[in-house]
Amino acid sequence: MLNFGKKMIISLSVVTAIALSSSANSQTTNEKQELSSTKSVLDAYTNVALASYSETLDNAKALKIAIDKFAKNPTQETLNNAKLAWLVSRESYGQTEALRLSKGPIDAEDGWVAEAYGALEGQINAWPLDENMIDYTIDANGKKTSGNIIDTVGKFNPGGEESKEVDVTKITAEAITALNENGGEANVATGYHAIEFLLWGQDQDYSNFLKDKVTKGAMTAGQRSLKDFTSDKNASRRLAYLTASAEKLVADLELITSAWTKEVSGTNGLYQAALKGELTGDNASKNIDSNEALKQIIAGLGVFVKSELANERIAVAVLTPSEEDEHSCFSDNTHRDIVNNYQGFKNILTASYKGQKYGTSLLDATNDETKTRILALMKSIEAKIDSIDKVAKTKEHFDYQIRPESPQSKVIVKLKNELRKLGDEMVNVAAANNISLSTDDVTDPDETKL
Amino acid sequence: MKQNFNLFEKLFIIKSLVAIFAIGLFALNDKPISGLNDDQYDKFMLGKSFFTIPWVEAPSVTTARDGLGPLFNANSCISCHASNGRGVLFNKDGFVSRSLIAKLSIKSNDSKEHKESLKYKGFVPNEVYGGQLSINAIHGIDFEGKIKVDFEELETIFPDGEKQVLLKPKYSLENLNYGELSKDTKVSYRLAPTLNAMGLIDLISNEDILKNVDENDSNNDGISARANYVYSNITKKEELGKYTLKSGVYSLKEQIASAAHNDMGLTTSIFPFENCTSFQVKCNNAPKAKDKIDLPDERLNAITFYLKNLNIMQLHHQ
Repeated sequence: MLNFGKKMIISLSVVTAIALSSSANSQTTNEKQELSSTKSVLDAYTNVALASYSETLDNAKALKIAIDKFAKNPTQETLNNAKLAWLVSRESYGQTEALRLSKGPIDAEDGWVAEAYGALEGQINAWPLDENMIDYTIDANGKKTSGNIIDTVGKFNPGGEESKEVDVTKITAEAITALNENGGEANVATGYHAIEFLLWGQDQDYSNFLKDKVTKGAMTAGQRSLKDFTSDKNASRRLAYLTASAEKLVADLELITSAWTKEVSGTNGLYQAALKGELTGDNASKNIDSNEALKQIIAGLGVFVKSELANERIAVAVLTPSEEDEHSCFSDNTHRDIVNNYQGFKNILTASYKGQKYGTSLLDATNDETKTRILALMKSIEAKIDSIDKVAKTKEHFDYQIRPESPQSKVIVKLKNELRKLGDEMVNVAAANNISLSTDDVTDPDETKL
Repeated sequence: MKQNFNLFEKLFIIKSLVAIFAIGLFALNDKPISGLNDDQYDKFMLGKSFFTIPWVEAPSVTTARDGLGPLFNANSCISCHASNGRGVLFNKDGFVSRSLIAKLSIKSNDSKEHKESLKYKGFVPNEVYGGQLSINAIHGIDFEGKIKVDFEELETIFPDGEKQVLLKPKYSLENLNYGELSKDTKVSYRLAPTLNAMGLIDLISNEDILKNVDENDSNNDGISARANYVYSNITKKEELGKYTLKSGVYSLKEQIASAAHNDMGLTTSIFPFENCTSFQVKCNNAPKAKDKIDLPDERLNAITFYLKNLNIMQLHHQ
């Protein structure tokens, strides 16, 4: 019922927006220029999205191949290759995340976009995850936990709120899909982080090592033994879980990527065409007003960099400070998540991918003063991200950098503050593109899930 | 149950569009007030994080959010107060929502124990179930029971002759796992209230509240206003109550600690014990979290700060 109310409110605001935009003066040359510049910004955006998701899909397919090889012949070498493929896959996926929170195919929760593409973000990259539910862990008392998906044959109930039993006699993509977020948002059974946990296992300093001092060192990630996949009695179930989750990841990313392809056919390419207002016939009603499209994109960028990256992923980790609040806590790859999430933001803002410019960017429209200010802020942010990345590769992983006694914790604190400022700058970027946004619009996503 | 829900929903949607808007106004808000500096924003974020991210059963590998239960109603604050708004009677699947809770109390028998309970808690909890029915429990422990909602159809005729069927909810308890409730138990059903503007209540001075005391309705406005003095577990003395039904709790922080204790089974410096009665042996013997306090003061204070600094003004723009 609340959803119904929400839709009403949202559609009212759309009506208002349309009314406001049509009450403007009749078209002048200036407006025509604006329209054509909006068109080229949206063209560039869809091009960057396609490039970004295409590479992500390729990398996910490579991950699936590596996992299948490992499952067929589990050796240290094939395990290492699977881990490497996972790390590579995160480089491209991390950059797509700036496309979230924009009512796009990755996470739109209602309307035709959700129906066509299924709001799969929660299946692909749900986090934080209660790894306890997937496989054994070593608990706070040093004991091996049990009662998880791997060691249960038959019906498994994930527990939590209103959880539903799922038959896991055979671990399949369908079974783990049904278990994902079943009983609560931390009950994550699918996606990159489930695969990460299966490949790396628990990072032993995961239990709050600030207090219990249980740690294997600043440069050590999870150390799952190969035996878990060979001689252990549940070895074959672990391998089945890995292949099922890789299969699902590829299928989910195929659907998301299809939204951005150039040819419109069924739901293929449908979103990118709607965003550019190019749909005709029966589909014409799906076209997204160009002002609304820009607004969603810029607000999404601001919310992503400020609320998701600065707040949820960095601030909470450094404030708690707890390893369970770092993004990739099993592989200790969080420094790369930060690098790539930021890079994804920059890609969209500057309409580029891997150094190649894809057309007119949102930043192009800003005046010299705004542009200089934003670029200076970005330079300062990039220096801090570089520092976190370098230190993670040479001295201590991100989970050690967030400890108050690490000098890096101050860098991280400053970084998150600057990322918040960068999020707020999206109000000015919007204004330069003739879109009205307030800091509220870039502060928090609407996370209502009823 | 589902059928009831559908009927309820249908009538509700047809007849209560206004109400839907009103509910909308109480939700969709999780932004801070403007003007917070970075440190304050951090505190806000820390509070939001502990308000939102689910707690897990002890003992677990996680330590920051370890200690759910043994008995609990929900595993996060937000699951009953979605977007800090009020609870709903039914969840999206059409079942009774967990944001509906049953408070249990019995009449005092004037024993020393009951008198103490009245003094420190304001009521005497049911001996076996405690003060609140827990609809969930961790693995290996029986939950206490569930709430059932039925509807009575009341036909109402408007002055213009239009007939309308109103649905009157009837609440009851079922699946009671620790035996029947003692006969003298009073059950009070409550829906999770909105948390928006809770911080503002804290700003009302005792003076302003006491100004309106009018126990005998001497001003004849039909309201006999009474101030409720309650024992505070923070100041360890009687204070003017401001929160919950009948102003039974002194401060917002205390109310949050109480909700953490009763709704999620979390220990705090204010309520450092598990929410099991002496009759619930398994509950008392359940595995404990590594830290004695599940929700330490810094995080409890952060949740308080979060709720106090929610942007209320933003609601008007929805």
